[in-house]
Amino acid sequence: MAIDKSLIGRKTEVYTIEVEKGHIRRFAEAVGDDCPLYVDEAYAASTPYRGIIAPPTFATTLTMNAPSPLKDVPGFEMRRVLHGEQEYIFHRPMRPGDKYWVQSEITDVFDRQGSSGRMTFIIIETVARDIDNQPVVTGRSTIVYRQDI
Amino acid sequence: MKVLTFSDLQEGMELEALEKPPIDRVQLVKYAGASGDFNPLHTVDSFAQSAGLDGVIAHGMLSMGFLGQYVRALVGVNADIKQIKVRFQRMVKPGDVLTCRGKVTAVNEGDEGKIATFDIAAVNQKGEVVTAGSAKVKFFE
Repeated sequence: MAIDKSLIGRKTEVYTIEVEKGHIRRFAEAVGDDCPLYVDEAYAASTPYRGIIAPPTFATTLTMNAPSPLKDVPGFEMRRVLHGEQEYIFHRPMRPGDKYWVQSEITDVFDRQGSSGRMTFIIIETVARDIDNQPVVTGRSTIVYRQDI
Repeated sequence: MKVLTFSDLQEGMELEALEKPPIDRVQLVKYAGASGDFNPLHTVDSFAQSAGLDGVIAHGMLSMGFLGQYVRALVGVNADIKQIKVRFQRMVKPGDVLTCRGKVTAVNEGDEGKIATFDIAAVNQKGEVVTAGSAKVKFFE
Protein backbone atom coordinates (compact mmCIF):
# COMPACT_ATOMS: atom_id res chain seq x y z
CA MET A 1 0.00 0.00 0.00
CA ALA A 2 1.45 3.35 -0.99
CA ILE A 3 1.47 6.31 1.34
CA ASP A 4 -1.14 8.23 -0.61
CA LYS A 5 -4.85 9.08 -0.78
CA SER A 6 -5.77 5.40 -0.52
CA LEU A 7 -5.17 5.82 3.25
CA ILE A 8 -8.13 8.20 3.64
CA GLY A 9 -10.82 6.66 5.81
CA ARG A 10 -8.54 4.25 7.67
CA LYS A 11 -9.54 4.34 11.31
CA THR A 12 -8.70 2.69 14.57
CA GLU A 13 -11.10 0.70 16.66
CA VAL A 14 -12.74 2.67 19.46
CA TYR A 15 -10.55 2.18 22.51
CA THR A 16 -10.87 3.40 26.08
CA ILE A 17 -8.47 5.35 28.22
CA GLU A 18 -8.62 6.44 31.83
CA VAL A 19 -7.12 9.70 33.01
CA GLU A 20 -4.94 9.20 36.08
CA LYS A 21 -3.86 11.88 38.53
CA GLY A 22 -0.30 10.52 38.68
CA HIS A 23 -0.03 10.58 34.91
CA ILE A 24 -1.14 14.23 34.82
CA ARG A 25 1.54 15.02 37.41
CA ARG A 26 4.28 13.22 35.44
CA PHE A 27 3.22 14.95 32.25
CA ALA A 28 3.26 18.43 33.84
CA GLU A 29 6.68 17.67 35.37
CA ALA A 30 8.09 16.54 32.02
CA VAL A 31 6.95 19.78 30.39
CA GLY A 32 8.25 21.75 33.38
CA ASP A 33 4.82 23.23 34.00
CA ASP A 34 4.45 24.14 37.68
CA CYS A 35 0.81 25.32 37.52
CA PRO A 36 -0.87 24.07 40.75
CA LEU A 37 -4.15 23.47 38.92
CA TYR A 38 -2.71 20.18 37.65
CA VAL A 39 -1.39 18.79 40.92
CA ASP A 40 -2.72 20.59 44.02
CA GLU A 41 -6.17 19.29 44.92
CA ALA A 42 -6.93 21.89 47.60
CA TYR A 43 -5.93 24.74 45.31
CA ALA A 44 -7.78 23.31 42.30
CA ALA A 45 -10.94 22.86 44.40
CA SER A 46 -10.89 26.58 45.19
CA THR A 47 -10.94 27.58 41.50
CA PRO A 48 -13.83 27.71 39.00
CA TYR A 49 -12.73 24.23 37.90
CA ARG A 50 -13.54 22.85 41.38
CA GLY A 51 -10.87 20.18 41.07
CA ILE A 52 -7.73 19.07 39.26
CA ILE A 53 -7.75 19.21 35.48
CA ALA A 54 -5.13 18.11 32.94
CA PRO A 55 -2.90 20.55 31.02
CA PRO A 56 -4.19 21.17 27.48
CA THR A 57 -1.52 19.21 25.63
CA PHE A 58 -2.07 16.23 27.93
CA ALA A 59 -4.49 15.43 25.09
CA THR A 60 -1.49 13.97 23.26
CA THR A 61 -1.64 11.02 25.69
CA LEU A 62 -5.08 10.06 24.35
CA THR A 63 -3.31 8.12 21.64
CA MET A 64 -0.68 6.68 24.00
CA ASN A 65 -0.51 2.85 23.89
CA ALA A 66 -3.25 2.97 21.27
CA PRO A 67 -3.15 1.75 17.71
CA SER A 68 -2.45 4.34 15.04
CA PRO A 69 -4.49 4.40 11.84
CA LEU A 70 -1.04 4.15 10.18
CA LYS A 71 -0.27 0.88 11.96
CA ASP A 72 0.37 -2.05 9.64
CA VAL A 73 0.44 0.12 6.51
CA PRO A 74 2.96 -1.85 4.39
CA GLY A 75 6.08 0.14 3.61
CA PHE A 76 5.37 2.85 6.19
CA GLU A 77 8.68 3.98 7.72
CA MET A 78 8.75 5.87 10.98
CA ARG A 79 12.07 7.56 10.12
CA ARG A 80 10.33 9.47 7.33
CA VAL A 81 7.76 11.01 9.69
CA LEU A 82 7.69 14.57 11.00
CA HIS A 83 4.92 16.21 13.00
CA GLY A 84 3.81 19.21 10.95
CA GLU A 85 0.87 20.72 12.79
CA GLN A 86 -1.33 20.02 15.77
CA GLU A 87 -4.68 21.40 16.81
CA TYR A 88 -6.81 20.64 19.85
CA ILE A 89 -10.36 21.75 20.50
CA PHE A 90 -11.33 21.41 24.14
CA HIS A 91 -15.05 20.83 24.57
CA ARG A 92 -14.51 20.51 28.31
CA PRO A 93 -11.51 19.98 30.61
CA MET A 94 -9.95 16.54 31.00
CA ARG A 95 -10.09 15.42 34.64
CA PRO A 96 -8.51 12.62 36.66
CA GLY A 97 -10.87 9.66 36.97
CA ASP A 98 -12.45 10.33 33.58
CA LYS A 99 -12.82 7.51 31.09
CA TYR A 100 -12.94 8.26 27.39
CA TRP A 101 -13.84 6.36 24.25
CA VAL A 102 -11.31 7.38 21.62
CA GLN A 103 -11.09 6.84 17.87
CA SER A 104 -8.62 8.16 15.29
CA GLU A 105 -9.23 8.39 11.56
CA ILE A 106 -7.18 9.50 8.56
CA THR A 107 -9.35 12.27 7.14
CA ASP A 108 -7.13 13.64 4.37
CA VAL A 109 -3.90 12.93 2.49
CA PHE A 110 -2.25 15.30 0.00
CA ASP A 111 1.17 15.93 -1.53
CA ARG A 112 3.42 18.98 -1.53
CA GLN A 113 6.80 19.49 -3.08
CA GLY A 114 9.32 20.50 -0.39
CA SER A 115 13.02 21.33 -0.33
CA SER A 116 13.82 17.67 0.39
CA GLY A 117 11.53 16.26 -2.31
CA ARG A 118 7.97 14.97 -2.28
CA MET A 119 6.23 15.27 1.05
CA THR A 120 2.89 13.65 1.79
CA PHE A 121 0.68 15.33 4.39
CA ILE A 122 -1.53 12.99 6.39
CA ILE A 123 -4.32 14.47 8.52
CA ILE A 124 -5.40 12.33 11.48
CA GLU A 125 -8.43 13.36 13.50
CA THR A 126 -8.86 11.93 16.99
CA VAL A 127 -11.99 12.40 19.07
CA ALA A 128 -12.30 11.48 22.74
CA ARG A 129 -15.87 11.08 23.99
CA ASP A 130 -17.24 10.63 27.48
CA ILE A 131 -19.70 8.00 28.69
CA ASP A 132 -22.59 10.12 27.41
CA ASN A 133 -20.96 10.11 23.94
CA GLN A 134 -20.23 13.84 24.26
CA PRO A 135 -16.92 15.02 22.78
CA VAL A 136 -14.30 16.06 25.33
CA VAL A 137 -11.33 16.77 23.04
CA THR A 138 -10.95 16.80 19.28
CA GLY A 139 -7.38 16.56 18.00
CA ARG A 140 -6.18 17.16 14.46
CA SER A 141 -2.61 16.11 13.64
CA THR A 142 -0.79 16.85 10.42
CA ILE A 143 1.89 14.23 9.78
CA VAL A 144 4.52 15.01 7.15
CA TYR A 145 5.81 11.90 5.39
CA ARG A 146 9.08 12.56 3.56
CA GLN A 147 8.94 10.29 0.50
CA ASP A 148 12.39 11.13 -0.87
CA ILE A 149 14.88 11.04 2.01
CA MET B 1 3.63 36.38 35.56
CA LYS B 2 0.71 38.76 35.91
CA VAL B 3 -2.56 36.90 35.39
CA LEU B 4 -4.82 38.58 32.86
CA THR B 5 -8.46 39.46 33.29
CA PHE B 6 -10.82 40.03 30.37
CA SER B 7 -10.83 43.78 30.95
CA ASP B 8 -7.01 43.89 30.63
CA LEU B 9 -7.13 42.77 27.01
CA GLN B 10 -6.89 44.93 23.93
CA GLU B 11 -6.40 43.80 20.36
CA GLY B 12 -2.78 44.09 19.30
CA MET B 13 -1.50 44.01 22.87
CA GLU B 14 1.83 42.20 23.36
CA LEU B 15 1.72 39.68 26.20
CA GLU B 16 4.36 39.08 28.84
CA ALA B 17 6.89 36.45 27.69
CA LEU B 18 7.77 33.17 29.44
CA GLU B 19 11.36 31.94 29.16
CA LYS B 20 11.79 28.20 29.65
CA PRO B 21 14.98 26.56 30.98
CA PRO B 22 17.25 24.98 28.32
CA ILE B 23 15.92 21.70 26.92
CA ASP B 24 18.14 18.74 27.77
CA ARG B 25 18.14 15.04 26.91
CA VAL B 26 16.76 14.07 30.31
CA GLN B 27 13.70 16.20 29.58
CA LEU B 28 13.25 14.46 26.21
CA VAL B 29 13.36 11.04 27.88
CA LYS B 30 10.91 12.19 30.58
CA TYR B 31 8.62 13.66 27.94
CA ALA B 32 8.77 10.46 25.87
CA GLY B 33 7.68 8.48 28.93
CA ALA B 34 4.95 10.87 30.01
CA SER B 35 3.51 11.48 26.55
CA GLY B 36 3.88 7.98 25.17
CA ASP B 37 5.77 9.25 22.11
CA PHE B 38 8.69 6.84 21.96
CA ASN B 39 9.80 7.75 18.45
CA PRO B 40 13.59 7.21 18.78
CA LEU B 41 14.12 10.37 16.73
CA HIS B 42 13.90 12.13 20.11
CA THR B 43 16.12 9.87 22.19
CA VAL B 44 18.55 7.86 20.00
CA ASP B 45 21.22 9.76 18.05
CA SER B 46 21.98 6.93 15.61
CA PHE B 47 18.30 6.69 14.68
CA ALA B 48 18.09 10.47 14.20
CA GLN B 49 21.14 10.25 11.92
CA SER B 50 19.41 7.57 9.82
CA ALA B 51 16.63 10.14 9.33
CA GLY B 52 19.12 12.64 7.96
CA LEU B 53 19.59 14.72 11.13
CA ASP B 54 22.75 15.54 13.12
CA GLY B 55 21.30 14.03 16.27
CA VAL B 56 18.15 13.85 18.38
CA ILE B 57 15.55 16.60 18.18
CA ALA B 58 12.91 17.55 20.72
CA HIS B 59 9.33 16.38 20.32
CA GLY B 60 7.32 19.06 18.55
CA MET B 61 4.66 18.38 21.17
CA LEU B 62 7.07 19.44 23.93
CA SER B 63 7.24 22.95 22.45
CA MET B 64 3.44 22.88 22.14
CA GLY B 65 3.39 21.82 25.79
CA PHE B 66 5.41 24.95 26.62
CA LEU B 67 2.82 27.03 24.77
CA GLY B 68 0.01 25.31 26.66
CA GLN B 69 1.83 26.17 29.90
CA TYR B 70 2.18 29.75 28.64
CA VAL B 71 -1.50 30.21 27.82
CA ARG B 72 -2.51 28.84 31.22
CA ALA B 73 0.04 31.10 32.94
CA LEU B 74 -1.35 34.12 31.06
CA VAL B 75 -4.99 33.57 32.04
CA GLY B 76 -4.55 31.63 35.30
CA VAL B 77 -7.93 30.31 36.37
CA ASN B 78 -9.74 33.36 34.97
CA ALA B 79 -10.40 31.65 31.65
CA ASP B 80 -10.90 28.22 30.13
CA ILE B 81 -8.69 27.15 27.21
CA LYS B 82 -10.96 26.25 24.28
CA GLN B 83 -8.52 25.69 21.44
CA ILE B 84 -4.80 25.62 20.70
CA LYS B 85 -3.35 25.06 17.25
CA VAL B 86 0.26 25.24 16.16
CA ARG B 87 2.59 24.57 13.27
CA PHE B 88 5.99 23.02 13.98
CA GLN B 89 8.24 25.22 11.86
CA ARG B 90 11.75 24.48 12.96
CA MET B 91 13.52 21.70 14.81
CA VAL B 92 14.49 22.08 18.46
CA LYS B 93 17.69 20.49 19.74
CA PRO B 94 19.03 19.76 23.22
CA GLY B 95 20.54 22.95 24.60
CA ASP B 96 18.02 25.22 22.90
CA VAL B 97 16.32 27.84 25.07
CA LEU B 98 12.72 28.56 24.09
CA THR B 99 10.81 31.67 25.02
CA CYS B 100 7.03 31.80 24.64
CA ARG B 101 5.62 35.03 23.29
CA GLY B 102 2.08 36.13 22.58
CA LYS B 103 -0.11 38.86 21.25
CA VAL B 104 -3.84 39.50 21.56
CA THR B 105 -5.49 39.20 18.14
CA ALA B 106 -9.20 39.39 19.02
CA VAL B 107 -11.38 40.26 21.98
CA ASN B 108 -15.11 39.55 21.75
CA GLU B 109 -17.99 39.63 24.16
CA GLY B 110 -21.14 38.09 22.68
CA ASP B 111 -23.46 35.11 22.74
CA GLU B 112 -20.51 32.75 23.18
CA GLY B 113 -19.29 34.68 26.23
CA LYS B 114 -16.04 36.55 26.77
CA ILE B 115 -13.68 35.16 24.16
CA ALA B 116 -10.11 36.19 23.39
CA THR B 117 -7.69 34.85 20.82
CA PHE B 118 -3.93 35.09 21.03
CA ASP B 119 -1.18 34.51 18.53
CA ILE B 120 1.42 32.42 20.33
CA ALA B 121 4.95 31.42 19.41
CA ALA B 122 7.93 29.61 20.87
CA VAL B 123 11.13 31.36 19.80
CA ASN B 124 14.65 29.95 20.19
CA GLN B 125 17.79 31.68 21.51
CA LYS B 126 18.60 32.89 17.99
CA GLY B 127 15.24 34.61 17.72
CA GLU B 128 13.89 32.02 15.27
CA VAL B 129 10.26 30.95 15.59
CA VAL B 130 10.19 27.19 16.15
CA THR B 131 6.51 26.58 16.88
CA ALA B 132 3.70 29.08 16.34
CA GLY B 133 -0.06 29.26 16.16
CA SER B 134 -3.03 30.52 18.08
CA ALA B 135 -5.05 29.96 21.22
CA LYS B 136 -8.66 30.73 22.05
CA VAL B 137 -9.74 31.26 25.65
CA LYS B 138 -13.10 31.91 27.27
CA PHE B 139 -13.17 34.02 30.42
CA PHE B 140 -15.38 32.91 33.29
CA GLU B 141 -16.33 36.49 34.16
